[in-house]
Amino acid sequence: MNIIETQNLSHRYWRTEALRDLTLAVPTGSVFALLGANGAGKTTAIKVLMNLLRPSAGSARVLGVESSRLGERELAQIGYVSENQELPLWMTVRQLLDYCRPFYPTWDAGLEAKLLRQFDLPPDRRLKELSRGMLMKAALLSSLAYRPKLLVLDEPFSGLDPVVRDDFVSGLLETSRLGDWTVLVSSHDIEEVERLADQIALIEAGHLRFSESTESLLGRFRRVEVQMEGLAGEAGLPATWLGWRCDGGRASFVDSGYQRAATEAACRDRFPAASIQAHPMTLREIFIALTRAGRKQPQGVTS
Amino acid sequence: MNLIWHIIKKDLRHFRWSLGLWLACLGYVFFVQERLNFHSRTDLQDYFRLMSIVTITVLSIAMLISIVQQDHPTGSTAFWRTRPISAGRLLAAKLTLLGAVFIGIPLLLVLLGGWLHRLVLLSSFREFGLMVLVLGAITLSLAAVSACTRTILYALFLALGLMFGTGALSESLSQLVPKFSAKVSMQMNNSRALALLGFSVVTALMILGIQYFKRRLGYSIALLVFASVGSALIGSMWGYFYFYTSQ
Repeated sequence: MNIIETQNLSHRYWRTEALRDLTLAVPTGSVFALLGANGAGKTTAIKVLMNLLRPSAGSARVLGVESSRLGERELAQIGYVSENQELPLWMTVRQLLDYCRPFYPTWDAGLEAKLLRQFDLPPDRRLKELSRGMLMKAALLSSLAYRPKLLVLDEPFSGLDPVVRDDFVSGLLETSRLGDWTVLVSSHDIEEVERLADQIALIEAGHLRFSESTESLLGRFRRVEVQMEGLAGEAGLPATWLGWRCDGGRASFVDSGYQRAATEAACRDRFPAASIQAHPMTLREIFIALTRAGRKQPQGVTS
Repeated sequence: MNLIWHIIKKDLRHFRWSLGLWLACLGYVFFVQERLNFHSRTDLQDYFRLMSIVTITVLSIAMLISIVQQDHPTGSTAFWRTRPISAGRLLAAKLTLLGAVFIGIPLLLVLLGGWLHRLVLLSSFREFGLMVLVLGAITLSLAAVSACTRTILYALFLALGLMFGTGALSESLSQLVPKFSAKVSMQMNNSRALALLGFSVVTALMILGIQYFKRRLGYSIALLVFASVGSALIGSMWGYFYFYTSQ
């Protein structure tokens, strides 16, 4: 069961195509990360999902409803925190919560008080007087206290220092244990996403490159080092080998479809006397390798 | 209804200081007008009266635009749009507040003035109706312009641009149609004013509806231009139309 589904979703800003044929499925109960460089189309995708922008083509369904028809009933089950959102900065934290509370039938005052303590927010301070980290926490609190079925976070870590970022993610992880909700988070802060996400999608230039589980993604990427005699060119290498480098008798590349036996056999076919070592990669290294790889489509794409 | 009132209370809290100053100025002007004889007023009282009128005008425009724009109907970063607040509920809250402040309070003062002077209110019914229409047309037109722009400055530019455009077009058109005698002009003045005000109210409501429910800025701007051209036509051609249709 998917809480979000998009089919060939596109959005244009005048002549610029910000989103192109995005077909995506976010499983219910998952923590789904939308990764991509700045300007890749993550925020546009989320804005279309939240009915903040109209799609130019294609369709998006959120909580089983066409995104352009999201009404009060559906929005009462969605929490949204974005770096771009214009919060009513003249309000204090308490006034913000007082204002939001009546709109949500499922508002949990106990959870509100617990989160207020946990996030260490000063209730009587105006939002405009809060630091950026505190402001994001206040926005998160006002989006968690009604136990939404879907929590959408658009670049929530942007501009936060490492300590606040860690607090934010820890708070999110802790609160995610309190209920059975789905989280859609867009970010280019990969370390934080790696801690949170169990599903990952990569968007590049408005187009989906892949969407799969974190486990599968980390499993199929390896940095491979080959010790051999002489030089080897790039010609005829498998398409899954990214970022080929050869320096003297040492070559390295990233295999985006790593399977130990198959990768070793492919190496030995080309370099019979080579010694081969494969190293696991972090999400960050995978992201950088993909970005540098000239935007070639990796193997095992599931979109 | 409770949630509409909840939104109104939020706006009232936000604008409490400006609204308080606006009410104080309005009260002062009313007091000077009603209670102080023109010849017995001091220069200082006259000066404060003038400053109060300027403050009322500036604050009215600024508050009206801000009330609409602080929960912008189409802004993709607007806070309310990701919260369970329907466009209808928000528009109802905004129109109720704008109506109460910019139509209701001035009307109340006029009624109070009438009561102080022991005027028969029923005989002034038409004047009250016209006053409601004038205030309604101004309030709704400015609200419509505010809903199509992001900042007070842009709203003012657009409003002034439309006013100058309408005026220029009206002046140009008046050169093309025959001049009427003073008598005919007198006869048609009321109907022309009513047509202009009614047209403004209807087009402003349509623009607000498009902005809040359809979020089509292009359509709204087209309708604003249509409203300006329509007003110019009514302003200059109405007499021509009135004269020939009444024959």
